[in-house]
Amino acid sequence: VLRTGTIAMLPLLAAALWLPHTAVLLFGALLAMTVSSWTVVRLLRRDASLWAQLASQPDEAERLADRMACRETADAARTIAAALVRHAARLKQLNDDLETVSTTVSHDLRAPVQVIKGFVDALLAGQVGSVDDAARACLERVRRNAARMDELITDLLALSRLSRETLRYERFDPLTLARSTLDLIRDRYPDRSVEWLADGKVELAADRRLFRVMLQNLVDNAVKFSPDEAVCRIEVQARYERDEVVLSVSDRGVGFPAELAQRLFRPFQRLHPNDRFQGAGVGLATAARIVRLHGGTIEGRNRDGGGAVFELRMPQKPAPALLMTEDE
Amino acid sequence: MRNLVLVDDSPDQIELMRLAIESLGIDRPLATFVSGEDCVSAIASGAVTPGLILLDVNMPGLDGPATAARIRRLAGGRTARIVMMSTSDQPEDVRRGLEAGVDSYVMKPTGHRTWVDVMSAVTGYWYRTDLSGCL
Repeated sequence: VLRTGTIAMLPLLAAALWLPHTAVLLFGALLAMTVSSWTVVRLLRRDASLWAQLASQPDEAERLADRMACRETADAARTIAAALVRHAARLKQLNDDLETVSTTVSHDLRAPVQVIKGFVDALLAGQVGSVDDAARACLERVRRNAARMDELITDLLALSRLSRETLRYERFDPLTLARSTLDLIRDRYPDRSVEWLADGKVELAADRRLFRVMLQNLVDNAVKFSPDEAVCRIEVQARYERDEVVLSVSDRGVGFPAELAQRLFRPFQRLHPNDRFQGAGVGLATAARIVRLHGGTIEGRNRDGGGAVFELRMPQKPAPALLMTEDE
Repeated sequence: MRNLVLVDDSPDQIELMRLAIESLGIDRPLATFVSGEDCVSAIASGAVTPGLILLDVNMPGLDGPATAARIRRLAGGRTARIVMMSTSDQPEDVRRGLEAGVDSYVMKPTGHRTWVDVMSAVTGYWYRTDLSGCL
């Protein structure tokens, strides 16, 4: 300051501690006196530069700096919020378009498939004249494929409807709910014997109806992929962990190829050969979608010694809506 | 004898229903229409006296519910049994149908159900509930 005559102002003294050692000592002393900012000017006496004045303004400059920072932060936050709202609206639009496409496609695909199946049924039932054995075998193939396509369309429709569901939260015990899916599973696999092992006691807030569908898919998956077991052992465990409910469904079945794990929850992915296991490959995708709708996560892994375990983590409190509508 | 009336914009669906009716040995005189408008004008002119009307929900022009509402306003259509048929099981579609004055709502065959199963159920319903005494 003495040399150049330029006024030096340090609004935040604490930020100036990178100065050389002697200055640090000086600043340290100033800080100890709770001086927070410092201004140095050159004073002139007659025509000679003589003296440097030290003026301190405890805290004032800091408050000013804070206020400026606040205003800048608020401006930045507003900009980001506006961008987020635009982005959310755009995502919602894209999502709606996609849903419309998949629903329309599913509806419009269904009618022709049912016509194909209908005529094959009529042919096989002899309603349009006699069919010899070779032709019958071909028609059976057409029927099986039409039935499979019909099934796929039904699943696709159900999956796309799922995204538009409004969750109706209620409190329930997920283990009891899981147990209640067994009747349906036993109907579906009448020749299988299922052993049910449940452990834990938790309460969960979620959409009970959707959660049942989710559990049904996990239990069905566990039974389906345990074909070689005399008794299919399903273990279901629940516990609290921090602010989450952790629920797992394990089996002693065939597991899945570890390198395909990232495809487990994608729709219409089948990780095993067609002839070994029936199904369209939407069970786990449906389960995962329901878990995610609730703000939860799901993962699958192979167990040591064979079998798979699916573990889901659900927030104990209902998740706030991820996308808000314009009104909100 | 009053007519068994089939209304569906798809001739394929009509043919499937016809085959099923034939194989069930149902000998009611059959009238088929590929649009709601055609069906309404045939009933209005008296060319057709409907006993049971099987009506597709989604049709271009007059759709199922609109056709049903028009039929109900005609002298010839007041006492007919109207069964709405659809591939949809959505509550909204069912509600629209029932509000238009249909008697029943039936899903077209999916899965293991065949047209014979569906037609057998629907005509059984007709025989049980028709009170005109002149099927």
